[in-house]
Amino acid sequence: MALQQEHELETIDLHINVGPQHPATHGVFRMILTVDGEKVVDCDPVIGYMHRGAEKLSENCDYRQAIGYQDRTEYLAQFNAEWTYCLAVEKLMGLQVPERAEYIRVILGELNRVASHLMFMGAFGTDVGFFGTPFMYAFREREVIQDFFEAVTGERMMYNYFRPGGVAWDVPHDFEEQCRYVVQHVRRGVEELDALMTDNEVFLARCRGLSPVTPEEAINWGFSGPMLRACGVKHDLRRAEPYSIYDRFDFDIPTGTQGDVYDRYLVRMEEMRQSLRIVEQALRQMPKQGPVMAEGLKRTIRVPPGEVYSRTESPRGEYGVYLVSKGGDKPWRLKIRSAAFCNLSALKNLVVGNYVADAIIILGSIDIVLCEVDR
Amino acid sequence: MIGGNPWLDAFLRLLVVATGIPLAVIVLNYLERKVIGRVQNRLGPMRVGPYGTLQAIADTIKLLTKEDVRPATADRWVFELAPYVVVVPTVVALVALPVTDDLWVRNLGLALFFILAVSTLSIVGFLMAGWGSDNKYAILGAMRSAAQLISYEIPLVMAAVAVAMVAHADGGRGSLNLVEIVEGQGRVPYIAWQPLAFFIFTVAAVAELYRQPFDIPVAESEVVGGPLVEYSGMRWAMFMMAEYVNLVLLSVLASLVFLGGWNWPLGNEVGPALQVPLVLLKTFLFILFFFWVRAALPRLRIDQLMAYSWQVLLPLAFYQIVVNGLALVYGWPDPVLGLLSGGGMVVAAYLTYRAVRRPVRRPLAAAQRMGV
Amino acid sequence: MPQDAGQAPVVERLRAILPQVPWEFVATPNDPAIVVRREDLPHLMQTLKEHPDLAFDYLRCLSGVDHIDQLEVVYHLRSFRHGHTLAVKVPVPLEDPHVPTMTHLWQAANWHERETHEMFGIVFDGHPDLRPLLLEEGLGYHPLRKSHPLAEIEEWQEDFLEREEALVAAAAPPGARAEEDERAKKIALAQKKAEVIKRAREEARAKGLTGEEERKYVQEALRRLEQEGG
Repeated sequence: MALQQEHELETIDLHINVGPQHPATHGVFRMILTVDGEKVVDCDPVIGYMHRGAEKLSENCDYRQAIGYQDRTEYLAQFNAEWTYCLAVEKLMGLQVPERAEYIRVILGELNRVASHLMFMGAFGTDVGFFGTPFMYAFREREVIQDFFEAVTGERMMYNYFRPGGVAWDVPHDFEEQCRYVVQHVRRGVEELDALMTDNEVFLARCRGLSPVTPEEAINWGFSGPMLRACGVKHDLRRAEPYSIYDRFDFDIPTGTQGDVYDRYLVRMEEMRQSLRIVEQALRQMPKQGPVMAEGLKRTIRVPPGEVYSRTESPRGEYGVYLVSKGGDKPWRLKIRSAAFCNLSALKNLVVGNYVADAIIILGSIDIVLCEVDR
Repeated sequence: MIGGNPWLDAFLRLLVVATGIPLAVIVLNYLERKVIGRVQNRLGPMRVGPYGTLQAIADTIKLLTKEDVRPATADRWVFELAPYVVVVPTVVALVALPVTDDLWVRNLGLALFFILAVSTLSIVGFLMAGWGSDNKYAILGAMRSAAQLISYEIPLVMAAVAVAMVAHADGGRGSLNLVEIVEGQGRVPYIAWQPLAFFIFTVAAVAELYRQPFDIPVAESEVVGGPLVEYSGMRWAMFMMAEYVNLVLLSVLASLVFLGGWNWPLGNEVGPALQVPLVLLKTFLFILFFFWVRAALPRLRIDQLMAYSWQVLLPLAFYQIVVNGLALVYGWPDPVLGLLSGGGMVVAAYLTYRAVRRPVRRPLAAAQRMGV
Repeated sequence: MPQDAGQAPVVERLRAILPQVPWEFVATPNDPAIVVRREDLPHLMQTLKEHPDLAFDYLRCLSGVDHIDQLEVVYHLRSFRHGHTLAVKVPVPLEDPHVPTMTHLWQAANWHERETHEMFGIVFDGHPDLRPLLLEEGLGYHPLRKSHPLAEIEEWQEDFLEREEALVAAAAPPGARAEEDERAKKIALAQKKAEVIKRAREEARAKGLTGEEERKYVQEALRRLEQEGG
């Protein structure tokens, strides 16, 4: 009978503060993990360390000044953020963007997607435990892309190049040549990264089967982008709700099967290749000459009253801008619906039940940009 | 016997070891950064001195001049003694390590046993470091490090024992004397007859050294240094020194036991002028391998690591010992031993492949969430 | 596909399924928008999510808007099954900014509602955890409201603090002495204690007391200080 007595060992759950200062949290982000041994029992994400009031500040700027805030909100996929915002303004004003500007936007946007995914590869590799090798490989390619962007816009990061109605100025004369070089170089780099990480046994052992998500859960939690596609939902805003000239290009939408960390990684790796495909097609189709800005725009843009929710497929997911205008030259309300914010809100569901070491990897696989989460 | 006096003899030999250690640490530190840099498509240190050769010295000066910070709530003696408890056993183990058949500090009959036993004492040092730091991350890291080190010490020792069992020595088979083990490899190094033991030894050595893929206790992106998180300056340098000395120790051990040391392929008659570079070359091969693996592989989780040790390495180590015992009893020739051992390697590879590639079942948490 | 005024199929479907709910159609580029009353919201949202012809399973965006005379909550929804989108706008009066929560239908609403609450002051009834998300707790104002100024923020803050103090002083009973600065009092007390400890230690050492006795001496001194002060 003594054997049937259960001796309950009283233990206290440990609160681990994966604090705002931590090499692995991709920015200033805090997670309070309640841990029972090595398993996470509860997770409370605390955000807001990077909140700078971009939405309120945008209400005080005129429509062209607000583009700078979009850059700084989504600092890894700036062109996509600017694009969404410009789409919103153009929709309300009924502007028609010239062909050449559309192609420039597509090329820059897709290269920006590649750059953002490269950053993900580097940061994710470091989270999983590589000593820095994928980081170095990824950033070598990112440097090439950033040099190219610098040649076009003059900036390495905060481009401020798209404008409502087109782009700010025309591209340099050797744009096509440089772009082809970039595509070729980056393609090789992507294959190298693939060879380093994808079939690595230890990488597989860490990432496969970690926090799988069903499609119904993903949709309910508000996932978008690679997080959603990894679950098997073949949803890409460039196909489902096409904007700009995306209906002219031929590209595949990679999807995963289980929605686990490894599928998210694979989806992003494949998306890079598809983006390079789009860039090549755009280079071929681009008109050699033409205006890059819509006609008849005054020095101060006045947007007629109305509201619009414009959205684009940014590297992290659906980046939306809800713009309310009451006439006048300043937005009345500029709400930024950032993909990382919505993806991150489900962190508790993803992390609970896994180990502490895996919590870091799961956080890395969501691919957050803190400025976008906090605005 | 140098100078005829045993005391002078011991002193001079110890002096060689004592000067060799900082030199080795400095050279290896520089080498590691250069090699890993090249793997990562960058140059490594280049500025301090020609091609960055003085970088390690600059780092040492920096570490020596750093403020000695100690957390106020840290357990003082435990915290301060921990680095020494980690360094001293690895240095003491060097006493029994021969470089050629004349260049050793002490030629112990139980050299292999002594080295492995003494170097195990470092585990206590890591536990002390974790506990004395009074920091949740440090304690987590110390627990993980103790678990990992103990788990991998066993296959390491088993693999070494397996080789020691069948080492050709004067008076039959079986010897723990490192000089004898090397002498017995005149024709063929033991890696040919005991590939499985070699594999287990190498993997366990990577785990003992806290290198990728087994560096979870000092994982930088998670527990930020683990038990070492509160150490700075010279105390931290002692931990690093212990790591490099351990690296040298295990690499020399591996090259002596498995690759034939100074004996193969040149034989025993050539003088130390050729033997020492030969041993250094083999050691260097191992060290390069460790650096390479560090740059290229991510880290395993603690439970995967432990599972690998207890479920794969340990049974295979036992298998190797049993096979060796049967070979001794029934007098099987060495090639048979090599075949059986090679078969074990194939099994190890297959197990690893299966574990990584098998179709993954949905873990319980997700099933509960789905209401299944 | 962009929806145009009045002809959007989803609006027709809605009219057929929920004829008794009054709404107003607003034409916006990209999505059809309807304005509903607060009372109809829970039933409407439930139907929107669960009815098979509507099946809005994805909450894209939940924003608050401050139209100076009233607040407004805007929900943007999408259906993965049918592919149609809808925007639901709910006007909320300023005096009674309560809206029923949607977290039981779409978990994505959780963080959006927290943010809208702290930015606009709209209370979502039934939300499991309405803590501030981006801002600190106990801020006292809602930044995204139009009544909170963007520029001239320092003057506004001083006005705000003065108004707060005036309110507190007015609420205090007549003849009460002025509110002491709690924090300054605490700092002064701590400084006094440090002085006493230092002096006691020096005296103890001068007397040649050992560790344990020295500590008892210091405790005595502190106890005397408390008796005097209290």
